[in-house]
Amino acid sequence: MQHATPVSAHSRGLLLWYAVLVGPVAWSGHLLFSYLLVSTACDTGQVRMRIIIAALTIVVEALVLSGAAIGSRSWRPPGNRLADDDGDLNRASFMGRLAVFEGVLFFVAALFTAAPVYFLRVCA
Amino acid sequence: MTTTAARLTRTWEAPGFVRGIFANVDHKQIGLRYIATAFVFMGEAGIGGLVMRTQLAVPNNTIVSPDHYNQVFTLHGTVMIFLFATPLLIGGLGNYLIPLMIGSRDMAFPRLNALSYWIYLFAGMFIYSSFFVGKAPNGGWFAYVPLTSVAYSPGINLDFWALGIVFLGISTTASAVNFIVTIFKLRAPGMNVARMPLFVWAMLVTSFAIVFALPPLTLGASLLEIDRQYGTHFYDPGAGGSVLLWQHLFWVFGHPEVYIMFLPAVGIVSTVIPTFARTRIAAYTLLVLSSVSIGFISFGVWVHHMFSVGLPPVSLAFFAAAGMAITIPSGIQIFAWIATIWKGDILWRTPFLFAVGFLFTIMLGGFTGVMVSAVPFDWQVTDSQFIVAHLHYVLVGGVVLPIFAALYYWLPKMTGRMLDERLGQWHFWLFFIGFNLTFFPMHLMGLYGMPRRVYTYEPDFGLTGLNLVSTVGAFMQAAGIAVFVLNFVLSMIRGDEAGDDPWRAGTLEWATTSPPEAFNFREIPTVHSRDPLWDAAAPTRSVAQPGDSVLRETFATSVLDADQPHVLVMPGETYLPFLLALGIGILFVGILFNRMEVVVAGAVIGLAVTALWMWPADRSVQTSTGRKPKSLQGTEAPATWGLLMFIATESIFFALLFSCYFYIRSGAGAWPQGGIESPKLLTPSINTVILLASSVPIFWADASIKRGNQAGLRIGFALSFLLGAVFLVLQLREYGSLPFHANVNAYTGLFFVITAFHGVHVFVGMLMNASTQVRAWAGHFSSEDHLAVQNAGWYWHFVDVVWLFVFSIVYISPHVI
Repeated sequence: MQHATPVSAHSRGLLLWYAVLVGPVAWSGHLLFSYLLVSTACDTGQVRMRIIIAALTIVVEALVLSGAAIGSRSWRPPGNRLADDDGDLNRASFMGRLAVFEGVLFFVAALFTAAPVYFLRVCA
Repeated sequence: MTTTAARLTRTWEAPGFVRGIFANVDHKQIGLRYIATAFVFMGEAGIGGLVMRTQLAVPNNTIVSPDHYNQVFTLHGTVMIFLFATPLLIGGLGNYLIPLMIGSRDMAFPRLNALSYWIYLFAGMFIYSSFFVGKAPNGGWFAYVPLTSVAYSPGINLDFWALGIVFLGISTTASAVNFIVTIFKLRAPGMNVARMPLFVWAMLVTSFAIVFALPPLTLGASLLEIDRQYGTHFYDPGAGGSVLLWQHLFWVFGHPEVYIMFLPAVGIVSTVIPTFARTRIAAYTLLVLSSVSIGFISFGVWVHHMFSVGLPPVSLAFFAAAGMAITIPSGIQIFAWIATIWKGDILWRTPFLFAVGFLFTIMLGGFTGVMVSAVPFDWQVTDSQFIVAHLHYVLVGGVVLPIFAALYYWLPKMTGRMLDERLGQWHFWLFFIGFNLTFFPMHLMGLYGMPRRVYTYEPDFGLTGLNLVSTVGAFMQAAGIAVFVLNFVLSMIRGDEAGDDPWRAGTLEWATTSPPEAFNFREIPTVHSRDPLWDAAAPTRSVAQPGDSVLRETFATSVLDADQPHVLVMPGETYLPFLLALGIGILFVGILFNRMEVVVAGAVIGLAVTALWMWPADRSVQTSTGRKPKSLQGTEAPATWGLLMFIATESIFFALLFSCYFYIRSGAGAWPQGGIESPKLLTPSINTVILLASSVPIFWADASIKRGNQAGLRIGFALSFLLGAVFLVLQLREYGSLPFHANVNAYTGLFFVITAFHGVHVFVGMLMNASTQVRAWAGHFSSEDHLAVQNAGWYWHFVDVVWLFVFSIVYISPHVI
């Protein structure tokens, strides 16, 4: 059996932290930036808001999906043992699944945030 | 009693009456005190609720005057949220249960824990004392300006509120930091993050939410008090301030606060349901996801409370979307609980009844939550009784019912006695029916147009019948509470003995005696699964055990995997937390009455006690491993995590202050306001060089002590102390040369508050520096033991980095933007 070196285990650990945190953090930034952008745009009337929010949403969704993709690599526990979520789960597998679920949730949440810009008159 | 147990008892018990009361740092005693104190406050606020309902039972009633009614509803909301639900769930149940659930012997910082309780008690007395002198706060629990400004609320009513909230915030924040570090570092070997009980997960997310949510409230209330006492203009549009700034600050706290109360309740329900369904919880990972994502999304919903203030419609839609997104993780929770019940074999006992009652009511509260997250509907019902109904369905149904589930479930563990099942069912049905009778009609009253916070109504409004039903319901709830109190008293007198695990539950707190001994576990278990007591392989002793010495010892383990256990030495009982809380309390009383000599007395007591606190205990005694106590270093040490959390809290304060600066500036025509010139740059530029230079000796000192060089440590810290002192002197000289005072307009207030707040941090850094120097001269540090050096150094660097932001934003930006 091949053992991971301490460095690679450390990198894997950091990647899992990234996977778990990137979705909610990216969504929070998306919401806050969109709110500030709209406030500024409605004050100055000089910002092309729909284009900026579309570009921002694409970046945010890519970040969210990157977290989910990294998490999915740890979905299966080593040797597929104790894969039943009702019982016990390997720690890395647990964090991986958490990252995937977060990816789905925050992908939808970021779409929710962006959608109103395209359906409402922005500064009415 | 075995020799080991006797020795552990001697080590961990707090002997004597006075020491047992004022010097006790045992998490279980502190938890019980929180619960008892919170119930006293709940009784007082509950009586206030009955007074309100009696007043509204019939039209044109005259039991209380309009002003008295204002005081009663303000205290009712303030006390129920800040002094009952939050402290009971976090300080009470969290304190008692978390160390037991994770297999630890105490919290990470027992003295800080005791300090949190004493501050909570004193802050509660501070706020409530206003009622007994006829000066209770009367501006509603969210204290909107300008109503609460000194022009419209003269007298000290609102000062009690604002200062009390700031005072209490110290306790809540300290508790949250303590919980985070305890959960990160003190879990029993083997309890990795995938095996943590869901209540522990809920408390972890809640604690992070507190760390991020409390600063906006503390800052908002502080600015309000500064406006009121010293005539600044943060919330005064006539002098460049903004009333909406208060609403932003309050609700950035206020909406997460709902989840700060709700998430521990979720943890309770996720613990109670599988125990009484006799099966493991369904979808554990998804339930963790729900708690974590709710923790995040709750911060994106604050404008949900400001739909009617005139923000652009798209801005409102962003927050409406976030409000609706939060229903996804909430729905996951509901389905996971239903699935657990579905696959289980139900034991219908009182805790389970309360959990099912919670499921029913929280769904109704959630539905109305979705309704008010739709902007057009919210506009129709804002400030009506519909909102009162919604918030009580969320907070009573979603928080109080789980609190009762928790008390019926865990009181046998806490007291060793079972509560009576029949009285428990009477309690449930009286309370549940009474609750729905009280609050369901309020939906209709609101839709019919009855506003909240009115002390009476006319007979021809068509509201009489609904109000009468609501009042009857309130008294039914009170009867339910009375049955609970009776049940508790009877169980103490003649209740059946509980035994270690009366419910045959799966989590670790049931692996010890009821009530647990002072040391919790004779042998700290090793955990192999999520429900260790339901395993064929029960928790085992597989590592060398701490505790066979005269020191209080437990294990510190790694953050994610809870492996690599190290023996951690804990402090024993001490009067210092009580005395420090007393000093802080005196300081707040001095501020309330604007008596500088009292403020100084409180500050001197506080500083003296803090100095004693930072002096380490007797270092000559040995641990159970036969060696002198070794301070854990770096991320092995809980103190490092505590410092990081403290720095996180402070960073949020500064981030908020900078946000306030730009918020006020964005609404100002010219900047600085009032024709004031942009700040001169010479002195702050010199100060920037001085402060950045002061970090260099700290780096040098840290590197020196790691090599065992004591002289380098002492010289490095002395140099940075000197540079810090020069910085403060120059800053004071700059204040003296300014052509304006803080109370000219919003800009001048912000200038002084931001720079002075940073100056206070430099001063605190110098105190930590001085303490480290004294300890260095006393020979406390070595190449293996220098944690305090690291922490003082990190704090100093943090203060330096913050200055770069202060300098850029306050001094440079008016010149360039």
